[in-house]
Parts: sequence; structure tokens; C-alpha cells
Amino acid sequence: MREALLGTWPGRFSAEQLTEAVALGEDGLGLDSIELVEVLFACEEACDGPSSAPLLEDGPLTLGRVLDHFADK
Amino acid sequence: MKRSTAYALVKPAAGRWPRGAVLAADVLAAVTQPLRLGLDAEDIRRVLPDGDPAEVERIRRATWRSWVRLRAVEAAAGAKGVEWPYPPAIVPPQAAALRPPVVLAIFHLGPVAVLGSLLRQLPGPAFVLYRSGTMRPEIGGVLVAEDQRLRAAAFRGALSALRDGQFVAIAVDATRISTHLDVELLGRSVPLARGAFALARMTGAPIVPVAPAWRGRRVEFEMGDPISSPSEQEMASATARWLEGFVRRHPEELGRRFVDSLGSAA
Repeated sequence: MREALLGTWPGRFSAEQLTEAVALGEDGLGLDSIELVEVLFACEEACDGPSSAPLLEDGPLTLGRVLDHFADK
Repeated sequence: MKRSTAYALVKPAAGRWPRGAVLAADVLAAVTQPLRLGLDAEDIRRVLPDGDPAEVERIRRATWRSWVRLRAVEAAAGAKGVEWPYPPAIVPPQAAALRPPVVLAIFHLGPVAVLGSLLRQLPGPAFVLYRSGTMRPEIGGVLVAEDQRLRAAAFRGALSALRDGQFVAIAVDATRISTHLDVELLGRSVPLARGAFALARMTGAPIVPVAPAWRGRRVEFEMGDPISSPSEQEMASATARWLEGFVRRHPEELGRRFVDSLGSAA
């Protein structure tokens, strides 16, 4: 996930920003809705993992929650 | 008389007599023409500055008739025994040749509430992203919300639909845009919503611009050639060129939302 963020948008974020508590959206890293979906799809493809749809249904969309979602499966 | 009053007048008539809704709207529009409702001449000149006064007046009258017709069609949609969307639309022959996934770029022009009639005639299932309730739910799709997470969920749904080989219809002109691409349109720089072009880039699906216009008392859709490019900006610019042609061919389909989406810069 961190690699996806750093690789997709080089120079936009520092590694120090990417804590588990940071929100990915406009109230955190500032990703817009299209960028959120791009990075979640990148994770799905990289992990050959579960759908990211539940992440968008409820709860805060933080980096830690995304990591847990893909790590659990 | 305000526009809301006109709607209140046309709604019961269209609801009781849905198949005559457009005719009823035409009668109301003709009777109320002296009130000079519809788009202002100033708004029309913002879009088409070269129009002579007689042409601008003709367009102004036509925009009022189109507005009342659209309200009547929406009112008729709630009537029993009417197959929605109504009236049925004339769909261009190239629609049948489209092979999904395809991103249909739509605009707030003309009787867009009849979009479902086009979607039903496409050779595959369709998914619509929309903000307002003018399109009935049975068309299929998702209402785009203000909340960013819900917007992302809607966008994800559209992306999944394309990956499943469906059509996706999404508006590209908008007054509330979270992320946009600037294009040259009608002599000015105008922001188009980025969603359609991002979907096309991420899936490799072509963009097909499409818009409806009244033809007599029926609706006819016009459709552009498929636009494919790895560049979102190139696709947006090509879509804007098609859109400009449509507006120049059908200025009577201009509406408030589209004019506002152009902004004030000339």
C-alpha cells in the first residue's frame, strides 16, 4: 500500500506521512475520490486479494484500515 | 409567473394524460411565451455571442419550450400505465454497433431524463452515475453523493461495471466538480469532470459522447464517434469538440445547469 502511494504519485507524500492513522482522503493525504479508487484497485491487483468495496461502505478510510483489510485475507 | 408555477400547472395535466404530456407542455409554453421565461438572452449570448437578436429570441423561446417539456415528461413518469422513460427516443444506428465496455459521456443538455430510453436500446447492460433524481431507479445505477467516500464507492461501482463489460453513463459537465480537466469549449476554458475520462483510461474503454435533442415531439439522441486515448486530457478535449458541435446544432437544448457549468469567463 505504501509502495503504491509512493510509486503512483512520486514526491507527493513523504514516508513519514504514511502512518497507519492517516486518512487517505481529503481530510488526510488529500487523495480525491478517483485517486482513492485507483490506489484501492492497485492493492487488489497487487494482492490478488479481496474486493475493496467494504472499505468504502463505512468507517474511516485510514491507511491502517486498508493494510488490515488486505493483510487479513 | 415563475418557473415553479409553470411546473405546478403542467404536472397534473401530464400526470392525468401522460401520453399527451409533451403536447400539454407545448400549449403551456406557447401561452406563457409573453412572460419571457426560459434562458435570458444574456445567457444565450454567453454561449453563442455571434447570434443576431432574432436568432437569440428564437433560441430563448425554444429553451422555454424544452424546459416545460422536460418537466412534463418527468411528471408523466409517475403516472400509472406509462412505460418509463417516455416518450421513447430515436437512437442512432451506431448505438447498436457499440460493444461494451464503453463510457457514455452525457451532458446537462436537452431532455436528459429520457436517457433510459437510449440505455435500454444498447446491446448490453448499462450503469448510470447521477446526482439528481430525474432518472428513475429502474434505469440502474448509483446516485453520486456529496460525501467523498460515497463518491469513491460510486466511482468504484462504475469501474467494476466496465470491467464486467457494461456501458457506463456519466455526466462530464457539472457545476460541482471535485476533480476536473480544463478544455477549450465555446471560446473559453471550461472544466469538465474528470470521472468519465479516468474510467476510460483505467479500463481502456472508449468514450462515446451522447446528447438528446427534441425532434418534433420525440427525442433523438446524437452520438459521437468513439474516442480512445491513453491521455485523459486528449479524450476530454475531443469530447469538448463534439459537445461544441452539438450545442451549435441544437442551441435550443441549452439549460441553466449547462450555462452555469461554463462559468463566467469569456
